[in-house]
Amino acid sequence: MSNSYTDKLLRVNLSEGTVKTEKINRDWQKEFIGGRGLATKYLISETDSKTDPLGKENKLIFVTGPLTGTSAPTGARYMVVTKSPLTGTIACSNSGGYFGSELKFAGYDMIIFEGASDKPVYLSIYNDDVVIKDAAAIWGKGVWETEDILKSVEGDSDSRVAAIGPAGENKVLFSCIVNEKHRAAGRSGVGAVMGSKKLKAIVVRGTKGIGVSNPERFFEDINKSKEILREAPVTGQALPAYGTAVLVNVMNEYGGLPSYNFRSSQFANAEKISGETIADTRLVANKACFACTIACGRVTKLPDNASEKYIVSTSSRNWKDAGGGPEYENIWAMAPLCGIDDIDALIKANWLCNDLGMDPISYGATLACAMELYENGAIDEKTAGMNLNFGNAEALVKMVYDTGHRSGFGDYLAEGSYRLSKRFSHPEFFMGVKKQEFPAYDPRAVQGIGLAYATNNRGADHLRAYTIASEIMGIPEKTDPAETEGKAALTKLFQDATGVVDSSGLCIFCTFAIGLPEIVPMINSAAGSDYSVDDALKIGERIWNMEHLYNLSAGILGAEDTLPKRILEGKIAEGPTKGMVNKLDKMLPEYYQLRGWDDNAVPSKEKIEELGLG
Amino acid sequence: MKSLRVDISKCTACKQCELACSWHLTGQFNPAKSAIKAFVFDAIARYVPYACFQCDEAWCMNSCPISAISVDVKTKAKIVDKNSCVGCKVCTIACPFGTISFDSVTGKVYKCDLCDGDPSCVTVCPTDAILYKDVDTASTPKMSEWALRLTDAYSIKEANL
Amino acid sequence: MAEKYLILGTGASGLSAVRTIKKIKPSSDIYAAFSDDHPYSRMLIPYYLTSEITGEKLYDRNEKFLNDLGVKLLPGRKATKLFADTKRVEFDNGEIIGYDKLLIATGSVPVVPERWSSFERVVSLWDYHDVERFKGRLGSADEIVIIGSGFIGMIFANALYKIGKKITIIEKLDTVLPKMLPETAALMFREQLMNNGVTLVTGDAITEIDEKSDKITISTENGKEITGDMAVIAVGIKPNIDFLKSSGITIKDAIIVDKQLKTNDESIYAAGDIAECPALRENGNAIYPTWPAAVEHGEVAGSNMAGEKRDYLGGLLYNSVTFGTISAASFGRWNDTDAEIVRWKDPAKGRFIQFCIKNDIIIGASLLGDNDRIGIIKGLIGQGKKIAGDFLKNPSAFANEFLLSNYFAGNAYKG
Repeated sequence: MSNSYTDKLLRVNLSEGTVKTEKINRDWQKEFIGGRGLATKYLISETDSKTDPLGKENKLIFVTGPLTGTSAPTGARYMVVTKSPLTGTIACSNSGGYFGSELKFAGYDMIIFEGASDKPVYLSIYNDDVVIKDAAAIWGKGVWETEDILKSVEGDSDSRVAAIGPAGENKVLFSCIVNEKHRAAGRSGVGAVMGSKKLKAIVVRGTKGIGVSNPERFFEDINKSKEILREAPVTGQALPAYGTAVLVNVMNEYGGLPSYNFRSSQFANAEKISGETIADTRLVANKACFACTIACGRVTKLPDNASEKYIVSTSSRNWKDAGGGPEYENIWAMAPLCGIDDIDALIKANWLCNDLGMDPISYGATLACAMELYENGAIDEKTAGMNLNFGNAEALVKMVYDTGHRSGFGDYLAEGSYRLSKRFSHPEFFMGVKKQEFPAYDPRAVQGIGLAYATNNRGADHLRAYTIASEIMGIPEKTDPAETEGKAALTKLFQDATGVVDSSGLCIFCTFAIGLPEIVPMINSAAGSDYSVDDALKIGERIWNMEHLYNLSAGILGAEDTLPKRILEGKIAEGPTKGMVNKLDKMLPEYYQLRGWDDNAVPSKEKIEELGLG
Repeated sequence: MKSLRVDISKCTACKQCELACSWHLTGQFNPAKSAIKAFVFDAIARYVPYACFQCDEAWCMNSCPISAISVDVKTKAKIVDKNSCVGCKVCTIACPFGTISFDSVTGKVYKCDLCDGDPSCVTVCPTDAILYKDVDTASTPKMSEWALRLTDAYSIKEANL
Repeated sequence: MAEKYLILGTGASGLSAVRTIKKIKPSSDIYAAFSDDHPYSRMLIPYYLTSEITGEKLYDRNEKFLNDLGVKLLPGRKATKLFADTKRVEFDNGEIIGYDKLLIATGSVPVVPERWSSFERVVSLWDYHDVERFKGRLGSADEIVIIGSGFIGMIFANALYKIGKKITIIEKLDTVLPKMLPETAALMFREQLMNNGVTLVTGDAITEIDEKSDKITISTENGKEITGDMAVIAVGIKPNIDFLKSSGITIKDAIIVDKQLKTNDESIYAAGDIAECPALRENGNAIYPTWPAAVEHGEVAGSNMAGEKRDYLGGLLYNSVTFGTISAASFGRWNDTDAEIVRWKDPAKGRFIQFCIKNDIIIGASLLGDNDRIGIIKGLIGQGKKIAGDFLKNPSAFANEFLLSNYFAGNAYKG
């Protein structure tokens, strides 16, 4: 029977230089749907949780879901699953663009990279023709040039390239994997793992078709979802018009836009870098990921007088060309958090992050931490190589380059803010969880997101339980951001539901309009499964617990489910959210209880059995 | 007579048109086998849905040695009769717009057939970048108007317009 | 009274001329003479040979097309003499037919050395009758030798390969498809041919063919002896112009025509393989003996014959050929020695692309392997615009270049 899985995976052993095609484990596929869940199951089954993330024994898995490559709206996603060198936890980073769908069209649901190559290589996939090729000519090059070269070498402008830049090669701990130049599996340093394997890129071209199990129902299901996405204010209007950057003003007005390394929760010049300003002055187009009917992606262009400003030469890049972003999180981390309001420096720094292959959230947040260290005298100008005062836009651009290349002070920044703050004896300046930097929502001002950060299996991050949807936007229903009650249940529900979305191949943004009652039928009619919404939530819970057990076994214990002192005790000084702190202790015990975990976050035997994780 | 119209300022390169078209032509999702393609020009942030203009004196149709390509009475689309096509590829090199291609799996050529008057690319386009409309006051240019400005070399006339 | 059009030949250009004339002047009086019993498409002969299509399929659509348009068919007539001054044509059945406007579209004939022309097992497979005869013997013939590896040799090699014959190809030059592929690509093509079990003998010419009752033995200059059950001669073609001797029509290698495909006689046009027409953006005339060029010729000639002036863009030689799953195509002057050559290849995938560029304008291309939207290369060469994008870095992105040069030349940001 035809369905939307290819049922095949590629196993690439980089030590041996071998490529094998295997059947996907159908039982696991059923237990985990695909995507994040399935790949995590493979990683956990095949690797030791205590393995060195940058060692040969770690594996790097690229995975798609059953809706990737179909016309289900937002069905573009692929995920990269591995052990994170930044956090030591499970890492699962998710990206859109055209890469994931192309992998499906080539006939694969998943690629498992194991071992490490002695010399730089890339993987070339053209349907059944899969070859490990020498990458000497592109090692050291930026992501963009790498993509151009590989398309030209492979002779197909419809090839899709996922690559690391110098940051991944240099094992910058928050380096990412970038596809289509501006789409990234961004967080947790998955790029460094790829770099440690000397794997520069994957270039894929597929010309095979993907079927669905029940076409009639599938089209009914996706048309319904498309309709809801079109009618919903966030996905139908706000995101297409302003992209994710629409949140700059929203969060700032609410008093939840952290600035100056979380010393404040508002940014005076937010308007200068807001989604509205970008749309009015820098935006040249919206660009969608594959099959996405929202098209939140920004494409911006620098004004002529800015293209020569803060020039950093990393590639053959023509700075007058249009480029992707910036997105909300990136804007926040590299502007308000660093006290910077120069929109063009921000755009350029963002492009450089993409070209060098680096997570702009962690980069911006690490720079903000460095700025606080600098202003506190813990770092002097000689060490930093330049003035690192908050607001220094030139530093923002220059340090991207230095960080990606680990040159000068950039070598310290490349370790992330947890290690940086410790190195300079102010661990309290680290703003994150489990060694990963916070994203752009102040957990003092928004209680639930604090719990979501603290309990996140991949460290501080908004994409595993985006409670902001409920607490700020009122989706699916409004909860009070200042209130802790109900947030444990909300967080758990969002975490479990997100596991389903991440396993399906859809983008989490579709959940601004549709929920599991719409998503699960799409999965079923495409994949030929018959999950109920409850089944799906159970799968989400299974994924969450599986990841959590992996972390526990890796030695990342419940004690790390916490927030920095500044968040728990340092009251917001001014603005509409003045006086607020995150009351994690009011939520965490209830959360553990709802999860069926003990006080140390250890799942009960019953829970483990119930979820089939024994 | 209706024709495909394109407003390239609206296209987001989401490829829904390619998905719908390939489904229509092959019963699967397979952009590589779509008759419409959304070209992506990242440096200038332009995305261009591109398909057959259904030109009147169609190069593909006139060059086919076995008359496998004919004019659909209802839509004036140039349609390929798969049973007749022998896969000689003459049409694929004769069409200067490249909008008819050979499928090595089927051994036949394929092109836009306007979906019997209800083009699926138009139905699924989320931004109305592709329209199928009569001559009217709408400012949206016909897909062929892009072609008409292409070159004097291969001037084309659209069917019955 | 309606003008009387006489069309000699119902191949690609004859048919397309008829179509064009009828479109412009629906009531015109058209006579179409052809030497066979039916107006068939020669392009289809390989498919008839393999029985992918029936004999009827060779011509039924053409015949219906002509009948529907009210064209008077004159089958089984071979022109023997042209009286241009009195506007009449004499045929081999003695008939003489007059015209107001004449189109000569009698195509080519294969070059078959006289000494082998009577051999039973050495054929040219040029027309329907050749194939008929050949098919009769095909059942007992397993090993076929193809003499000549040009377009025609290759399409028959492919057809015979498809029906399970063992193929040997002999080529006088060092590489196969010499008019379509540069050496590198030809070597790749050759390798793929050999991978498909084809025996290749290149750089060697035939000296003699010995025909026994059921076998042929071919001797070559290099002293090889190649045996087979039958041989197909595909060493070249020549325009079918013998009947025009002393007609007053200007002839060099073929009939010299101007941009309207008109000969030196106001009433006489020539199209297809038989026309030596102005080259695309180059001085001089040349012959463009391929099917799609013949179609274009017919349209231009027909239009001008019907009184609607139309200039031919200029001759462009382009062609496509397939063997098994391997396809090759060439366009224009892909081998111009004065031009810049941009080349990309991936032997593992059997793909090769070469573009020839002069003064920033693409003048030719040669390709191996399947390429979607390949016709755009004809568009690129035909439009003669300066290269707009960075396509030279990635010649496989020729379609992007076509769109870029047309949609966005000038100001990219104005919708």
